[in-house]
Amino acid sequence: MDQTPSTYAAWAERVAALCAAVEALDAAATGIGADSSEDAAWRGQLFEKLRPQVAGEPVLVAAVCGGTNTGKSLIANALAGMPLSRSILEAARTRHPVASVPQARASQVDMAALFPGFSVRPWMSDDDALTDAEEHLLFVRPETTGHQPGWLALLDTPDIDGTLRDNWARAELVRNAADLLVAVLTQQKYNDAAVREFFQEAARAGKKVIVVFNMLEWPEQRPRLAGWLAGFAAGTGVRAEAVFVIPWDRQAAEQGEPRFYDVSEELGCGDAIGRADAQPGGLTGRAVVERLAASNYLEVKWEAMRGALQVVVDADHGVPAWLDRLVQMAEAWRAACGLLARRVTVSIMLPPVPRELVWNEVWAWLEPKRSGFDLTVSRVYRVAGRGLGWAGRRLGILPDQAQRQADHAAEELSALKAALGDFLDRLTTAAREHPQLEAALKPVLTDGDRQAWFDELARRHAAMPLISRDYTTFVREELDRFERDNPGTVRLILTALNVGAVARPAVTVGLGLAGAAVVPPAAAAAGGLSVFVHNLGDLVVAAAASLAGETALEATAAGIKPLLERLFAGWAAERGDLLATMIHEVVMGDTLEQLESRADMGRRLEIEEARRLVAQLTADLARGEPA
Amino acid sequence: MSEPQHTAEETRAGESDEFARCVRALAVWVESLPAWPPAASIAELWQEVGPRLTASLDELGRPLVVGVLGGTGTGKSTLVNALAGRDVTEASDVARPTTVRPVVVAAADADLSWFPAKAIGATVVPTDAAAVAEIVLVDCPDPDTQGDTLPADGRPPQVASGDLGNRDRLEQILPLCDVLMVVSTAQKYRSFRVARELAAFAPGRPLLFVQTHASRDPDIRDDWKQDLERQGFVVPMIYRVDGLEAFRHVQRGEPVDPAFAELQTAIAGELACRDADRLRRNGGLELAGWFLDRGHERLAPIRGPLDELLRGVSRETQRLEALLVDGIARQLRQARLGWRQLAGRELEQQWQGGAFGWFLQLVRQVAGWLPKSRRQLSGLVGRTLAGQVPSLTVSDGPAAAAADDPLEEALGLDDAEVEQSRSVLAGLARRAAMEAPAIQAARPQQPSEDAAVAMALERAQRWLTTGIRKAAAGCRTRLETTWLRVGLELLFDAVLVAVLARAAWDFFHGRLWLGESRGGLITEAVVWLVLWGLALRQAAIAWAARGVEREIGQLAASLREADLIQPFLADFAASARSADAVLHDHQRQQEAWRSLSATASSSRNLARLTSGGDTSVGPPS
Repeated sequence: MDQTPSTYAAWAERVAALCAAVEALDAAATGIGADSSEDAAWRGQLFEKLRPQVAGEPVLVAAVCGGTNTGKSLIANALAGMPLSRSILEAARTRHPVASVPQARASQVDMAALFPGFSVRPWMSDDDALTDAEEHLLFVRPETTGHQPGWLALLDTPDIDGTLRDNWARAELVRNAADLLVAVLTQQKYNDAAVREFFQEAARAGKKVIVVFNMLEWPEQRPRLAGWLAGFAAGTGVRAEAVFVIPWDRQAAEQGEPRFYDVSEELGCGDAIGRADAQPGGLTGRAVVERLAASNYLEVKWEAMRGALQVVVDADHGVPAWLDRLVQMAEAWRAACGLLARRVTVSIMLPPVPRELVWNEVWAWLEPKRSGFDLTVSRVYRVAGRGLGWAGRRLGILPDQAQRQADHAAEELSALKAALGDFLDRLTTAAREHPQLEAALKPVLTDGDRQAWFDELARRHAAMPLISRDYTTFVREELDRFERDNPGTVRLILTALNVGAVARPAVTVGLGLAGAAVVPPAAAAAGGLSVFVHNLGDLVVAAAASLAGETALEATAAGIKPLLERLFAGWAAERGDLLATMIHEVVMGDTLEQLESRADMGRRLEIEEARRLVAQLTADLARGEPA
Repeated sequence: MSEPQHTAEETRAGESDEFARCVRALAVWVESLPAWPPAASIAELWQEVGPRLTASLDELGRPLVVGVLGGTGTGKSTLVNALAGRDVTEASDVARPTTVRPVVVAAADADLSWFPAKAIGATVVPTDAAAVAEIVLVDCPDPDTQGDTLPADGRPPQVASGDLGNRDRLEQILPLCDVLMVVSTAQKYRSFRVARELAAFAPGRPLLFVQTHASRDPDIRDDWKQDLERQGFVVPMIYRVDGLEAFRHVQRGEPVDPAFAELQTAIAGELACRDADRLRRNGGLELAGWFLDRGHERLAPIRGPLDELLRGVSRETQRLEALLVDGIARQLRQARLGWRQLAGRELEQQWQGGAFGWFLQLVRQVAGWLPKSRRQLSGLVGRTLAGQVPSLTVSDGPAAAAADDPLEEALGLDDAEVEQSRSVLAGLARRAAMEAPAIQAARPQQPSEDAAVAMALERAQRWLTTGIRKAAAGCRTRLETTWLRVGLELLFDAVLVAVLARAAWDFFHGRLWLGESRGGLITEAVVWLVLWGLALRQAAIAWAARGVEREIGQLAASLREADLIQPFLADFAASARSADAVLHDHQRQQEAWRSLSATASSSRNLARLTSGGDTSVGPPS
């Protein structure tokens, strides 16, 4: 039996690793939509029992639990042989648990580590437990009389069925940590659903239960006991280790000295916690604890630890089921991301490129490099073009350049605004189809300040130069590369320049989420054009341009048309970037990152790690008794 | 003596008329609620509340149904037996729960044809006990032995036939009860599951709280009362009895103890038939108040977002109107040529008779023969001025080229601006819990967008036609000025007369008398006369058109009255208004019911649920 602690220690590493994996997954799983209430049982056993108790000297945690006003505090005080929590006529007055720990042990055992979730306080008086505080408190009273065995921590707990739900939560925390429960039942409450549900969890986790029927008409109700116990056992799955009866006796209650009548034998209980000789006047609480002291506490502890581990590795309700659910939910989010990526793609109907903008860049690259006839011819074209333009403007046929650029900017802003409106619309439609998305996109679609977005878009657009430095660099790089790949054909660019090819760009902005096609469909549909695609965070910008109107270019050598299309598409892409950046930075915030992390949940390494640990722990469990 | 009694009865009748009117008004209001989710949730709540309220109008004169509600083992059945004076329902400690099927206790001669005892599987037991003589007492199953979910490893014990648990059965019975007698013990008075059931069924039902097991349990009534008050109950009285002892006394024919007698008196005194209608009406008042308070809970958080939406609608309407005014004003100014043509047409139509009039007609005839080469006027303004009726089907006619943005082409309003406004409003509408289909997307679907554009165009055209008519009338008035007419006519006539005189002199004196052969005057004269006429015509048109400039300014200013933007934001405006009406009407209902409740007399011993309590113990899901 002495090896038992070392066997827990063998589990310790795996349990710690499993806890770490679960916590890492938990952090990422927020908002994934898995219902955490289903996980309460294994979480309780993993974090409140196994992790704190798997290493170190074993302490047997025994807790007195039951409904409101059934006499828990009276019984706990009697068992401890000293006041822990004041017994009060009104119901639901014990708000926080109180632990009685032998003086010798009190210094060795870290109660805060043993009872996670509680803030541990030294016991000052029996009114401590009645404190009305929101925080979960645990009061520790060192036991000095010496009759409580060193390995026993005895707790009084709040009720499990009253209107104050905090009390339930505290009782459940204590129950999860406990190895042995003293179930205080009465004839009014032994079959209450709240009581049954509380002890069901304990039975599933392999905890030993001592049943105390309190406030009985004794011995008139003695014949009822078997039926009541059978009802309780059927409703909870609890096999009582021992059954005591405390008769209704106001005087004994007022003196704090209830008498315990052992009816274990007649009700056919086992003898795991030992037997006492029948006493005609019943046992005192202290005598019950003395009997408990004679039992094999390591065996009880071992069963409870095994039971806890069983709950954790249970395929249907434990960690594996949770992992399966996470993977399943992640798939649902992946599908949602795919839906977004497919549906939320907007095409921006930019106005035709003011061609002199691109041409000026090309010209600026070209001019210092070339000389000779080509250049002369080009200059003639250029000068003539300028002259015609000047004449046209003078006659009022052609608007002047500033006016043209202002008109272009207005048209472009209008296209960008329309695209932003369209983007929000598509997002709304996608969210409507998918309830999970609806919730995830609420911060954007409902809480977002759309007025501010449109204003910001206008502001950014006004601040953006028509030709950026990036674009100038891009043009130069493209042309340099073209010249390297096609030496001697730069002349063709001049042809194009002289023909004055005009491009109609097509820009699309889409969500580049998991499961997305990289090229948004609208750009791909432009068909056979050079498509310019790049990623911007979670957004994809694709631009295509189709040169219009010159068969002259068709005739020239391959390569020039795609080059020019690329140059125009690059310019258009930069305009699309404005919207994409804006959506990325201002509209969506971190929503898309969140969605992606949810979709990626199922592929996280911690899932495999957790599965491996569960398999190992299951194997450990199957190995049975400690070596 | 009989006089004041008569008046009291009349007052009561008047009050109940008022009550009936309020119930009907409430029903009508709920019927008219729009499909807006907060309103829909109120309508859903009405499904439960409505029938109870209307029933309290119809079921006049029938006895009160008193349901005994409490946790298992609190002695409900024992108390019912004690009140009934005999063993009518099984009361024991053999196994919990004891009562599975409800037991209905009523006076032997009571007509229970209206009570659906069979439907709820109840046993009806007659009694001649005085306490139960004027009521129908129902011993109900308990709310606390049935789990919320059946345990995975089997059913809870002692589940009776069928799939119903005890709480399910209880929830079938409680809706039939008018009054609840809530029974509890020291162990159970703070039980969550009982409190939850009570919270769900207390609204609109007078309550009677009873602590049982008096001979054994301590007196917890003060603490119980505090707990109940925290939950929003008003509890003037909690009875404390021992059912078992009382039953023994009753069986043996002994006098019962004073506490039990007090309970018997309270039942006989407060719940008697003569008070049944008043109690039901009071219950109805509380129920309606409770219902409206729940409505308030749903509507109050929407107030802010809804106001924001209403403000948003008017702000966006103004913004778009301003843009539209700019656009149309620009078009109006650009259409100078059109205005001049209008003035010209007016001039030609106005100036009949006289030499100048004859000249103007001649010019019109000649102009009619010339090939039509005038510039196509664009925009709604231009087209209307040119006398074309702008097509309402947007893609037809001369606008076809610009059909991808008919708004822009016709009214000078950018489509994207409309979309921005709609998108902003869509966000605000979502905050006010409005969703499709009440609210369309920012970019409306094609048919509805076309409809909105067509409607806007129609309105714009109507507005413009009126404006142009007015401008034309202005032209006409200016042209009708006497001195202008006389002056121009004189100026033209003077030249004409001079030419004719000179021609006559030349002909009679020169050619005919002197025999000189001088020619060319006629040709020259005609040329100069035509030029002079044209100059005068231009002057007249310029004069007429000068006034038009002012008309244009006035026309643009009158644009807001034309309400052109309305079709584009109509769905948002309508939804916001209807939601606003819901909130207003709800407030009106609440005021009406409050003033009605103020007239209700509260009972001395019965407890009730007020609305302003802690609702942390919610109704069962």
